[in-house]
Amino acid sequence: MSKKTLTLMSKDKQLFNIEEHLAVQSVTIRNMVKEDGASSVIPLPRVDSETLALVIEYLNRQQAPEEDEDYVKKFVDERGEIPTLLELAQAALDLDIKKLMDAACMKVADLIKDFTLEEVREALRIENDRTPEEEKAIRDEFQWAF
Amino acid sequence: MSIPGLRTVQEIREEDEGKWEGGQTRLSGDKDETREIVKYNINENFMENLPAELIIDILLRLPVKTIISCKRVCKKLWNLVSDSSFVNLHLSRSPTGFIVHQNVKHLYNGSIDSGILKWVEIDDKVDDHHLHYNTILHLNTVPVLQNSQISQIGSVNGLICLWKDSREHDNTYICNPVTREILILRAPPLYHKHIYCTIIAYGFGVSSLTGEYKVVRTFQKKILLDNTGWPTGSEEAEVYTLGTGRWRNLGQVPYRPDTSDFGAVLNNHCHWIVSDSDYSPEKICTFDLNKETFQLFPSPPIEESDTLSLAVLKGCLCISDGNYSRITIWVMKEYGIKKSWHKEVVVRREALNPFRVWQYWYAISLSLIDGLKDGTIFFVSESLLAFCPTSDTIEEIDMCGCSESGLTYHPSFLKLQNFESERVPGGSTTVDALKTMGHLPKTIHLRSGDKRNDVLLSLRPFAADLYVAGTDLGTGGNTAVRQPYGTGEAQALEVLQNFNQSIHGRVTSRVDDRHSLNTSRQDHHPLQACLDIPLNRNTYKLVSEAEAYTLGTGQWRSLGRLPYELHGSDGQYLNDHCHWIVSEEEDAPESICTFDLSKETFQLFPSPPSEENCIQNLAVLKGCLCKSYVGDLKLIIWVMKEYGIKNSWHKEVVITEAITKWPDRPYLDYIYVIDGLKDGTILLAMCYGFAEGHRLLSVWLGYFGNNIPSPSDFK
Repeated sequence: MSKKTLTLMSKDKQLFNIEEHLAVQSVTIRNMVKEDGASSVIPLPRVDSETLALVIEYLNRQQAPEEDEDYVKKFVDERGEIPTLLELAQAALDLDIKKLMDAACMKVADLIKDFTLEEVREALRIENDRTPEEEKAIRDEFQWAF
Repeated sequence: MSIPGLRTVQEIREEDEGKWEGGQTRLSGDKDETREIVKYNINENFMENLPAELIIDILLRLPVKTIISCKRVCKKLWNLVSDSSFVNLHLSRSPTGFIVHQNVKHLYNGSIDSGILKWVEIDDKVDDHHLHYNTILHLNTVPVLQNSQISQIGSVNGLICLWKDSREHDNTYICNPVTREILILRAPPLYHKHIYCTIIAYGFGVSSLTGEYKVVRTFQKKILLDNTGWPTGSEEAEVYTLGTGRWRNLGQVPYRPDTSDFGAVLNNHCHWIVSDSDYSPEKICTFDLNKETFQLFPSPPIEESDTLSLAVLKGCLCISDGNYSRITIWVMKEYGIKKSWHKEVVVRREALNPFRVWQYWYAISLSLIDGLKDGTIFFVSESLLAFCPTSDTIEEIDMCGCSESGLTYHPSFLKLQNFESERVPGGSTTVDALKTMGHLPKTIHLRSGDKRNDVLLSLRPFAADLYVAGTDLGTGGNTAVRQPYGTGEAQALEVLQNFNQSIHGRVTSRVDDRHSLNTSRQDHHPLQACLDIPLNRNTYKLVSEAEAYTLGTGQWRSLGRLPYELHGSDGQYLNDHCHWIVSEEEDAPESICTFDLSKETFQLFPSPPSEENCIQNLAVLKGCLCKSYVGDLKLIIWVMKEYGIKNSWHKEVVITEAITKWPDRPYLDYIYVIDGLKDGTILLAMCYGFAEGHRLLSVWLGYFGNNIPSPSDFK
C-alpha cells in the first residue's frame, strides 16, 4: 500500500513533502486533512523554509513512545540558539504540535532564566523603547529584584 | 476553519498571481534554490513578530525575578505582563514559597524597626529540595508601616495582609511586594481604648463564588471581667471585602478563635483553634468565606492538649500539638471527614534540643508553615526550621536574622489598583489613605459616594525629579487633546474621572515623554493606548501648538498653532469641550479657552471676573464648570450655573478662616477642586512638600465641608 504524501509550503514558497500519517501529528494539519482531504499544497505563511525543514525532521523521527520525551528534549537542545528556537516554537504553535512547542518554549525559558535585563534584550534583539527616566522609575519600583 | 496566520492556498495564489505558477513545484531537495529565496531576517525585532501566546508561554516558565526583568525590557512585554489574563495564568502556576517576617527591633530612641519580609523560594523535587531566600520588602521603607509593630497575618494569591497593632493604632494593610503596592484598609473603631485589650484573631482569604478578597477578624467589643478577674466578653466578628472601603459587622460569634493562628485558609474556609477548646465539643471553628458564617469543625481526638496550632500541610488541614516532650502533627486527609484525622508525624524533644534549650514557651512559639514532597516540614521559631522525618532531625536554615513568623506564599502580579474603582456605598466621603512618603509608588484613594460623578483621585509620589515636564491633557469622548508646555513643574496627581457611563478617562502624567490612556476600566480587557510624545528636553520653550489623538486611529494629528497660550492642569472636560486657563501674559478678553471635541477648534469662553494675585484653576463641580482662585489666604470658587452663559457665573463659596487653620499655609498654591457632593461638601485635593531634593516628602488629601479638618483628624 502506498503511503499518502502531503506537500507543505513555507513562507518563502518552498515545498516540502511528508507522509500524511506523520504530518497529522500536527493538529492543524490533521484538521485540514479531515476537512477537505488536503489534496493540494498546505501553505504555512509564517514558517520559513529552514524552520519547516526542522519541523519535518522532527515529524519524521522514528521513536518509541517511551523515548519520545527524551528525543524532543535532545532535539531542541541541539538547536540551542534562541532565534532558531523561537522560530521553531512559533511554527509548532501554528501547526499545533504541542510537545515540540512546549520543549522549545521550555528551552528558551531555561536559556534566559538567569539573564539580566540587558541580556534578555540582546537575546531577543529588542530595542529599549524607554527613556532613562522611565527606566529609573521602574528600577526604583522593583529595587529588590535587581 | 480559521487558524491564525494560516491562509488557504487559494488566497495565496490569488495574491501571488503572476508571480508564481501553481503547477511548478520546488522541493526541499533543491538546495541551490533556497539560497535565492528571501530568508527570514533574524536580526529583526523578534517581539514585533512573535505571537503574544508564545511570549506568554515562555514568560510563564520563568522565575518571578526574570519576569520582572522581562517586563522592563520593552513596552510590549510590560503590557503583556500587566494584562489580567497573564496575571491569572501566572497565579495558577505560581510556585509555593514562604514569606518570613524578620527582625522587629526596638531602636535606641525607643521606636521600633518594623522589620523585613523575606521570600523563601523552594525548588521542591520528590527526593530533594533547595531553598533560596531574598529580601522582598523592607517594611520600614514603607511610610505607613514605619517604626511600628507590624505582624503579618495572612497571605493569599500573592497578597499579604499586615496588621499594625498598638494602643493608638489598629490598622490593616494589604500589600503585594511583587507589584510594590500597598492598600490601606479603612480603620475600624478603636477597641483598644478599654483597659483590657481586646483579643483579635484574623483570617484573610478569597471567596470562591464571587472572587472577592476578604479580611475577617473576631474581637470583643465589650470587655467584662469574670469572677476570677480574667477579662471576658462576647465575641463579635467583622469582615472587610477589599474594594468596599468599610468593615461590616457580622454580629456575635459563639466561639473565640485563637489568635496564634493565621486563620489557615483551605477549601474556602478560614480555620482557627477554639481558644477555650477544653469546653468545646470540637477544637476547631471555621469561617465560610462565601456565606460569611462561623461553625465548629471536626477536630482530631486530642486529649489533654498543651498548645495547638493550625496550618495547611501539603494541601491538608493539620494541627500541631506540642507539649513538654514532643510535637505531634495531625493531618486531616479528607477535608471535613473526622475519621480521616491521623497522626502524621511526631517530632521528639531530642530532635529539637540541639537548637534551643527546651522550654515550655518554645512549643507555643513554634508554628508550622508547610511541607514538601520529600516529607520535610517547615516551622518558624526565631529561625526557619526544617524537620526531616526520615532522618528524624531538624535543620536550622540560616536566614540572617530572627524570624517572627512565616506564611505560605504564592508570588503574583495581581494589582491592588484593581480594587480602587469599586464603589463606596452611601453618600459619605471616605478617605481611605492619607499619608504617603518616600520612593515607593503607592496609590492613595479618595472616594466619593456620590454615584452620579464618581471621583477617584490617586496619587503617585514618584521622585519629584522625574517630572521634568508636565503636559496638559484632557480627555473626553474618545478624543484626547494635549498642549505641551515645559516649565519643569512637578505634576504628581492622577485624576480619574467618570465622565459618563461608557468612558473612564485615565490620564497618567508620567515622566516627560509617555502618556498612557486607559479607557473603559469596567471592561475586562481595557483598551490601552500608549502614546509617545517627542519632547525636546533641551529647550523648555512654550510650544503653543496642539495635536489630537483619536483613540483607535493610532496617531497624533497636528491641529496647528494655538491662538492662546494655555496653562494649568488637566483640560477639564464638560459638555463636549475641554477647558483650560489662558495664560495671564496673553492679555486675552476671557481667561478660559475651550477645545470643541467635535469640531476640533479652540475658542475663548465666557469667564468670571479675575482676582488679583491668585492662582487659577478649573474644575467640574457637580456638573458645572467652576473656577477656583487661591491666594492671599483665601480660596474663592466661582461656578457657572448655566453652561456658556456669562451672567450665570457666581461666587459659590469663599473660604478664608478655615484655610488658615491648615498647618502648612505656604503650600496653599497646591489646592485643587476635585468635585462636590450632594450635601454641599466640596472635595479638594491639597498637596505640599514637593521639596527636599529627590523625595516627595508628604502629601495630604483632605475634604472641605463647612469646616476643614486638620490632617491628624484622618488618622
